[in-house]
Amino acid sequence: MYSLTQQEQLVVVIGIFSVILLVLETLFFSASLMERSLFFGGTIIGVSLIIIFFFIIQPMRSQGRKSPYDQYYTPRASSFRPTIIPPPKTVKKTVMKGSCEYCGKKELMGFTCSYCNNYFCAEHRLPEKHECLGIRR
Amino acid sequence: MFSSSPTEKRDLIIGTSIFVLVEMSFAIYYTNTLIELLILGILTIPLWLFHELAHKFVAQGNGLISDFRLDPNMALFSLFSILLPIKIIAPGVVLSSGEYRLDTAGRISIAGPLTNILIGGIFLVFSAFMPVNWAVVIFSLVSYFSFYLAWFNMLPFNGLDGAKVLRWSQSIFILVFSLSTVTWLFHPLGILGF
Repeated sequence: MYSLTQQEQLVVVIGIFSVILLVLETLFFSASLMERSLFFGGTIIGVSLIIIFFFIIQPMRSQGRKSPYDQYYTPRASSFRPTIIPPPKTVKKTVMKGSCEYCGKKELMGFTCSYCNNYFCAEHRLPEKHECLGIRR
Repeated sequence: MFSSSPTEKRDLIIGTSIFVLVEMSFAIYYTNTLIELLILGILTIPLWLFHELAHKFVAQGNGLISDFRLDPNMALFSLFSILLPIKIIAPGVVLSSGEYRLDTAGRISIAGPLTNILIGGIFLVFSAFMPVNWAVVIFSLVSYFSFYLAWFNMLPFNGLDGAKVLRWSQSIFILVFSLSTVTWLFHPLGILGF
């Protein structure tokens, strides 16, 4: 689990406090429809702008817009092409419930890999995450 | 830094038109004339478009490759839901590829619903200044759709944005989910509306 920084914890507390304030205002204070729309809309705009700034824009800036792939990217690597064997033409399984083939975790709405037709949880759905046999280099 | 592809532009246009048609089919019960319905259709365009573009831009801002793609089966199912009382709108998804951490995935997911909450708030404030009654109804209806879209996307099921946010952090999920639920329930047209 990702642990929040002190600043992020503060933003979460302020946000939940303002949500509670929003509920109390709509339930217990009487005003005309126009005043209520103004207050309700204004508070929502403020809260969502705060959350967008502190959880999305600020971490994006501090990262410096650098791709984590840059360290692996070399001119030799660009000429490398993996050969993908097309999936076998079998009837696709339509399972809605079962356990992940890779880690065995029980998953209610998992995913079926289109290369090997096995059932996986959300974490191991991609071919490279479950060492897929349908895709070979 | 931000890039797009011809396929993506085509898919975004098709997806937006499907979304507008479904929303108009729901708004028939609230509007009286065809012109009102058409104005409402035009106003609902940014709700869905900015939602998908927010996912895309945040992913690209974090250094990932990201593109919107239409899912033909889900697009047909969304079109079919025009006839149903329950509207399901999921014509496509934003696909991101690259190495990323758990919190980056959460930040990409949270961008869409938060954009919807922001747009809904803006439309609600605009509705307070409208001089005519039908304009007030249309603007608050658009903001209601926006809040509903945010709430639906924050549900913690696999494939929706909420599941990825929950995997990132529980407290942030509680914050955004409660915010979207409160805005949806206590909206003037909502279930517990004033």
